[in-house]
Amino acid sequence: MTSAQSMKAAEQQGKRGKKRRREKKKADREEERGTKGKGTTLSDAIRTQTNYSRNVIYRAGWSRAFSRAGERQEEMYASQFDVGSASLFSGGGFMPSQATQTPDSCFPKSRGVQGVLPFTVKQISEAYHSNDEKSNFVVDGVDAANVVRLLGLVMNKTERVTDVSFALDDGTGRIDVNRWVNETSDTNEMAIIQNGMYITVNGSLKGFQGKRHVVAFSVRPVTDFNYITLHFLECIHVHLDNTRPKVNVPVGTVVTPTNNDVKRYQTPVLNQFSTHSGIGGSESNIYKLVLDVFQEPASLAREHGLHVDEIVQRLGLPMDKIKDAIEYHVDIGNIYSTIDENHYKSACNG
Amino acid sequence: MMRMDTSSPAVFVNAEILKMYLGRRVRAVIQVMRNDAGVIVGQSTDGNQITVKGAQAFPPAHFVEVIGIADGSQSIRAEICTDFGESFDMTAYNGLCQLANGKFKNLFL
Repeated sequence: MTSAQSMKAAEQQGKRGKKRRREKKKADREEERGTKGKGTTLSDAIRTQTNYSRNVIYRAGWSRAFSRAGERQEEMYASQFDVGSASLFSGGGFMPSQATQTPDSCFPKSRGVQGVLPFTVKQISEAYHSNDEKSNFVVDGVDAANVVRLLGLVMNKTERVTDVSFALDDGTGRIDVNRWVNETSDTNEMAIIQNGMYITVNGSLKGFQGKRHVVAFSVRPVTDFNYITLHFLECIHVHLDNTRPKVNVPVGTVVTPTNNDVKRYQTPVLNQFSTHSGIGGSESNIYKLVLDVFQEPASLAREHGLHVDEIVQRLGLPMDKIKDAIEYHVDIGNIYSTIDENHYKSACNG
Repeated sequence: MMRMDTSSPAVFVNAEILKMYLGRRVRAVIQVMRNDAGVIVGQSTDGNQITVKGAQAFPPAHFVEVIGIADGSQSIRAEICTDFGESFDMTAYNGLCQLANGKFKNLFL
């Protein structure tokens, strides 16, 4: 090996280390946000979650700009470190982010770079896995190959020289997890993991000869048990988001990526969802009217949002119709209840 | 070889939902009211009472997650118990129980 080669190798080694540290930091940040979800009520938890999504959406916008610059680096990394190399530049959130290579579609469903997606083991067991070489997993029509987040109990922990493996049981199923230990920090991280402990795993989904397992980047004990509730609520939230009919914004309209993402929260897909849930046109109009009231800047500015009676007054429609619309929007995540079950606020940026 | 097993899930339950899963594996969070000779009496996330057999004693008022078999309409035979400590959001967990047994059952069972 020439000195130039070895220098290059050393440099790449350094980069890899840096990358791993960055990934770790990223996961730490996520953890932090996650554990902030110590809501005292369900709506608190959901609110925290909504803020979280907002954050992620913001970062997804940023990551798109960044990933252009990162594309070349990505290629460089891809060959030597294929585990989640793409995810490094994706912003790492759990909401799907837009990939630069799919300009024809605003919301790529099965292609492109993804963030960390929370799943239950049951969902993964049902994920579609094509047996081609790329071996991508598809959950709810979304590529889940990059980074998944699972939460559950550790079972059958086995330590070897190069790796630690265990089964993760999240109550919906059980899956094998592998964590390679290269550095002392990895060893330390895995040393505190014991059987019977609740942990979160960020890792990448692998399929080999029909057997699915997770290669973990990080394994962390759950310290606030509200995080368990939050994780499964996140699974539901992401499932809802991925299975909801998406709005098709015409290509070429001048919309910044961030606006695009936010729009998904703001614009109910009237024509599409009416066919899905079998409701009539007039009802979907009410849904839209109600949401519009919540989206008004004056409503967004109010800390506790709007009282149901105010909506009734504004629209002059029957209470039960309004409540029905509110329930719909709460379910779908457009609005959330604030101080009591009569006050609601839009989940969009205000 | 399929190294994934979803054959015996533990269903999120409160006292009300527990009744629907007699003989099945369930998981519930209770707040310990008292320990009676090897049986824990606790309050479920929906406010109703649940008894837990086969678990060690936990400090009163602690939140404990019990994973085990529903062996009665208000009773669980414990396999794994985890002490969730002194503060836990019961309302949120109860909401999750309802979602996981309602609209989004397919994500869990």
